[in-house]
Amino acid sequence: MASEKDYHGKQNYVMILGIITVLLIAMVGVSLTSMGGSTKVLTIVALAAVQFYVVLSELMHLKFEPTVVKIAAYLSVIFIILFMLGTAPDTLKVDLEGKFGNGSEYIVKD
Amino acid sequence: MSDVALERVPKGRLGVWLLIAGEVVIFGGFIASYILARMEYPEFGSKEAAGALNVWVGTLNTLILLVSNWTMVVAHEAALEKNLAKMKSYMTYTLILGLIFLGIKLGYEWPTDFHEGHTINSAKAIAGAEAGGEIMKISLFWSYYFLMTGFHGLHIVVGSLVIFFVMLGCSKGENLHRVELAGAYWHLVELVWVILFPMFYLIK
Repeated sequence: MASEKDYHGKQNYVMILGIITVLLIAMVGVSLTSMGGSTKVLTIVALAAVQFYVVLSELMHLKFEPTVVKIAAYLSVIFIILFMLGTAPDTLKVDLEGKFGNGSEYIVKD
Repeated sequence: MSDVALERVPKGRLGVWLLIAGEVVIFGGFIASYILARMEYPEFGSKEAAGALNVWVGTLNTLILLVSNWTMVVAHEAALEKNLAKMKSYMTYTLILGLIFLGIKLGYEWPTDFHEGHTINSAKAIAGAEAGGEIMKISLFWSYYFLMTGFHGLHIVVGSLVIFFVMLGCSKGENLHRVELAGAYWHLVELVWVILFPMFYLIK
């Protein structure tokens, strides 16, 4: 199993910080371009996903952790993705301007 | 597969990772809910909603949090080398950066939003006016924004307190493994922000 020796001195944290910063700059840069809607969103999501992975793996040292810890970490992410996919079709579609779902009537009313 | 055995993982580290897994599920629930609402209401991307947020202030805050994560891993490396002075310095830098993040959020960003009439329940703030469907949808965006960034901010406060007390406790060279555990929690705060930042500030 992983011990502190496993990652001690093996990580170049300046380089990792550089990678994450470049990803951040790229994300902001993409958001400011006139790129098409879906392409822009997908590019930003992809860059954020890479950033997420780098932080999880390189800064939180997940790659050095024993399998059981990796399972716990990845299961939580997989669980929430399944939750989202599972609930998406049942999401209550409230028509806020409609007759029965006019939020202004039951939320704003004083 | 011997490293699947739970008893071989130090209890503190296992506990922190389970806490992190729980936090991922909690924040994941919020994020999933927001994504579903965002797909339903394109108004979230309008100038009165996501478009009203200052990208540059958000970017600055993201950068501050990134650097604080770097100072935290450096403090952890210093703890492994039993370099207590360096460890304490870098943990202090982490604390200062965390407080700067909170200062920008609570001292500049949120007051600006409030001044523009955006609150966790903006629709109520515009009570008396005709709060039509679009206003309600925009209000929903601000509810998500304040709830999630507020909850994240609360984690920064807790993380800062943890780092502070761990720093005090480890200053005599005892229980240095706690620096790693506090660091893991701090990285979780960064991990969540990595998702929240593009979600609120960049995707319009």
